[in-house]
Amino acid sequence: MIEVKGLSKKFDSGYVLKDIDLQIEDGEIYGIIGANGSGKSTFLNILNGKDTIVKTGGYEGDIFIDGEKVRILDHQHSVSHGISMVHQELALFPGMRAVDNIKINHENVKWELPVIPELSRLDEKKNLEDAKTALERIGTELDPVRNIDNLSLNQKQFVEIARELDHQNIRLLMLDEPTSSLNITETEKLLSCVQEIASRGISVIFVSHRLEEIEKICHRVSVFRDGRLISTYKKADFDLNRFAEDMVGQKIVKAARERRQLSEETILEYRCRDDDGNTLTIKKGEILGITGLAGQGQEQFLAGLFGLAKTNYTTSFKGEMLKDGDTHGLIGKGIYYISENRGVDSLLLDSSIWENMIFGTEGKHQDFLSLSRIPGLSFLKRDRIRSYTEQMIEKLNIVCADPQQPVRELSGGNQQKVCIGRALTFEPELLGIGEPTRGIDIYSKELILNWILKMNQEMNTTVVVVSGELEELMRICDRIAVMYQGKIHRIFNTGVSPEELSLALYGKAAS
Amino acid sequence: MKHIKNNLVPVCIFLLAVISFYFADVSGKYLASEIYTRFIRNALFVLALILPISCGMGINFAIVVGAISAQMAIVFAIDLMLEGPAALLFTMSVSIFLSIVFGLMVAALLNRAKGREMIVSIMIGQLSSVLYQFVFMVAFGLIITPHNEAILLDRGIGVRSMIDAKNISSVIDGIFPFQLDGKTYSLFPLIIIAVFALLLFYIQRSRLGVLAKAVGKNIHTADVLGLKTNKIRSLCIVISTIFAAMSQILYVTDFGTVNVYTGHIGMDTNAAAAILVGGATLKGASMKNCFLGLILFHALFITSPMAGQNLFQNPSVGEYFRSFLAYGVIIIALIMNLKTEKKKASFA
Repeated sequence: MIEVKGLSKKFDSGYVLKDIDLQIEDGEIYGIIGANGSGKSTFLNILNGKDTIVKTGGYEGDIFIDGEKVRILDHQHSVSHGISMVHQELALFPGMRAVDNIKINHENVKWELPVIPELSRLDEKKNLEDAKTALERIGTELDPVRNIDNLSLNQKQFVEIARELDHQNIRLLMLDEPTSSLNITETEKLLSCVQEIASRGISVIFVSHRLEEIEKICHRVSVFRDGRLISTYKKADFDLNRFAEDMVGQKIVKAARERRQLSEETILEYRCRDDDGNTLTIKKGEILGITGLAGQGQEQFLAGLFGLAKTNYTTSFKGEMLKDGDTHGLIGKGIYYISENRGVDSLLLDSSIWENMIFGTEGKHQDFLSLSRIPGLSFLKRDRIRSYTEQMIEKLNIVCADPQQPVRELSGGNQQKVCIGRALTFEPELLGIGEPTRGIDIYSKELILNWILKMNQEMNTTVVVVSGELEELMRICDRIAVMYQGKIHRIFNTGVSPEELSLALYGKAAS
Repeated sequence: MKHIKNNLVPVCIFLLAVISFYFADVSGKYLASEIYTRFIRNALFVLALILPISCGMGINFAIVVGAISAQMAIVFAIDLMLEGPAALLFTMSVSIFLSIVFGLMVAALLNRAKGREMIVSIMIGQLSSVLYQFVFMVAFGLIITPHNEAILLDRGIGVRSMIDAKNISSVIDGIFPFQLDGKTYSLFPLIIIAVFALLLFYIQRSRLGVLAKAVGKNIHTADVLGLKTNKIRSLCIVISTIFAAMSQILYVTDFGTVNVYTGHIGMDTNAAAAILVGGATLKGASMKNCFLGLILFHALFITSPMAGQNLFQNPSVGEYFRSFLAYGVIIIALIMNLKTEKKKASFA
C-alpha cells in the first residue's frame, strides 16, 4: 500500500500543492483528474523524484510504502523504491533499438568495472531476454531489436511501459496522460494492458483528461483543483457531471457579461483545410474566446496566422485571404497578436519599457518621429515618446522604476501590461491574445481583463482570446469556441453552464 | 543512386581527389607513402572526435588540450633525459594523467555550455594553447627547474622552439619495418592505432556507448529518465582527450622533433575536416567515417597544392588550395549537414 500524508510543494510564488492525503491499495487503479495547473503533475513529479522538485527545495509531507516512511530525494531513489512513471510526452530515444530503450540505465553487464561502471561490458543476450519478457508481460509481441523510429505510436507507448515494468521491484506505476496521442483501438489495448498490470498487484496512478477512460478502468478517482484534493469518489459513485463541477469549482461565473446584439459583419473567417464545414467566423466588435484542453489545437488560429504554430485552417480577413506568417502585412491590415509566450514572442526582455511600448508602431504613430517623411531614417522624438510612455504606465498601472527600466526586471503581470500597452499604441482593428492571464496574480488579472473589455468597448476592437481559463472566458467573452482533437467542436454563446462547457472540452455533451 | 545521395560529401571529395591526383602528376606509390605517414600521424585525432559527437556535443575542438598534454609529457621526458622505451612509457603515462585532469576541466566547462559546445571548445583550445605556451616560454627556467640545459634558450629561460625527440622516435624505428616508395616505414604505429580503434570499438558497445548515444539523441529525455548526463559527457570528453594525446605522441615519434610552441596547433581543424569528409555529421559519426575521411582528406591535402601549382604555374596558388581545403571542407560539410537535418525535420 502506498500512502501520502500532508504532501505539499511550495515554489517561490507560493504553494502549488497543499496537504494532499491519499492511499493507494495494492493492485488498485487510482485516477487523478483536474484542470491544467491543478497540481497533478507536481504530485507525480514529487513521487518520481524529478529535478524540478528536488532542485527547488524538495517537498513537504510524508510518503509511506507498506507503512514504512520513505523520503524521495531524487529520481534514482524513487526508482529504488519501486516507483515508475510513463510520461505524457514519450521519453524514448529515437534512432535506438527497443531493447536499448527498455534497458537504458539499468542494463545487465557482464563484468562490472569498479571505478567507472559505465565502461562495463553489456550482456546483450540477457538484455534482449529481459526486454522480450517485459514486452510479453504487457501482451506485445514486438521484436526488441527493432528500431524505435519504425514503431507506431502505440508500440512506442508499450515500449515505454515495458521499460518501467522492467524495474525489478516495481510497486507503483504512474501514467500521465498515456492515451492522449492514441486512437480508439490503441487506447482500448492500452487500457486493458493497464488493468492486467494492476491485476498482478502493482498499484497504478492514472492521470487523464479523458473522463470516460477514468470511468472505465479506475477503482477510485480524486479531483485536484488549485493544488488541493477536492474530492474522492469510489467506483459506485462515479458521475461525470460531478467530476466536471469539482474540477472547475462552484464559483465559476463571477460576472457574466451582459448579452448583447452582435454585429452581422464578419471580420475574420477560418476554414478548416480538410473539413470544409468546420469554420469559425468572427464578427466585428465581439470578444471571442477559444479554449480546449492542452494540445487540442487552439493555438492554430492567431498563433498559426502569425506563423508561431502549425495550422490546419485558412484565414480570410474581410473576404481577403491571408498568408500565414506574413507578420508585417498582418499588422499593416490592423491585426495584432500578443503571444502566450510573452517573453519569447512578444517582448524584447532586455530593452526598456518605452522601447517595448513603441517598437513597430512608427508607421501608425508618426508623431513619434522627427522626420516623418523618411520614417526609416528618422530620429525618434524622445520627449514625446517618454511622455507617452509615462502616460501609459500610469493608465495601465505598471509597477516600475521608470520608462528606462528593462522589461526583464518586471513581474509577469507588469510585462503583460506592457504588451497590452503596445497593443493600445497600435490601435488594432483585431487583437488576438494568447493566455492573457497566465502566471499573473489575481489583482493584475482583473486589470488586464478590464483593459481587454475597455479596448473592445471604447475602440471597438474585435478581440480573440485563446485561454484555458474557463471562468475568465465566461466573464468577458460574447462567444466561446471549444476545440477538440484539432477542430472546432462547439461554439457557445454567453450563459453556458460551466458543466456543459467542461464536458465539451472532452468532446461530450451534457446529459 | 540513393547510396551516392546519402554519401554526397565523401563522393564529391573522392572525385575532387581523383581530379587533383591527375593534375598533380605524382606516382601512386608516392601518394600511398604520404597518406600512410599522415594516416598514422592523425588517425587517433580523428577517432578522438567520435565519442563527443555521439553524445551530442558536436566536434570537440578541445582535443588540442590532449595534444598539449602529450607535448608537455614529451618535453618533460626530454628534460629528464629519459631514453628508449622508458621515455615512451613515461610520456604515455604522464600524458594520460594530464589528459584526464585537463579533460575533466574541459568537460566541466562544456557541461556549463550545453548547446554551444563547439564554439566553447574552440575557445578552450585557443586559451589552453596560450597557457601552455606560457609554461614553456616563461615558467620553464624561472619557476620550473630544468634538468637538461640543452633544450633551454640561451638566456636560460624558456624552451627552444624545436627539440629533437629522438629518444622516443628511435623506439619504434626498427619494429616491423617495410619499404614504400624507396623509404623505410614502421608498422608499429599502425598496430597502436589498431589497438586504440579496438578499444573505441569496445567503448561504443559498452554501457557508456549506449548511454552516450542516448544523451546525444535527447538530453532532455535522458534527464527525465535520471541518466547522469554530465558524468556521461565528461567521460566522453576525457576519453577523447586521451586519444588526442596518444595521437600527438604518435605524431612526434613519426616526425622526430617536437615543435614545442606550434606542434599542437591545427590538429583540431584537420581532424574535424577529415571526419566530415568521411561523411560524419555533427550528430553521428562512425569509425568508417574516420578512416575513409582520413584517406580522402589527406589524398586531397597532398595532391591539391601540386595540382594548383601545375595548373596555374604558381606555387602560392597551391598553398592557397591547401588552406581553402581544410576550412572550406568544414564549412561545406556543415552546410550540407544542416540541409539534410532540415529536410529530416520537415518530414517529422
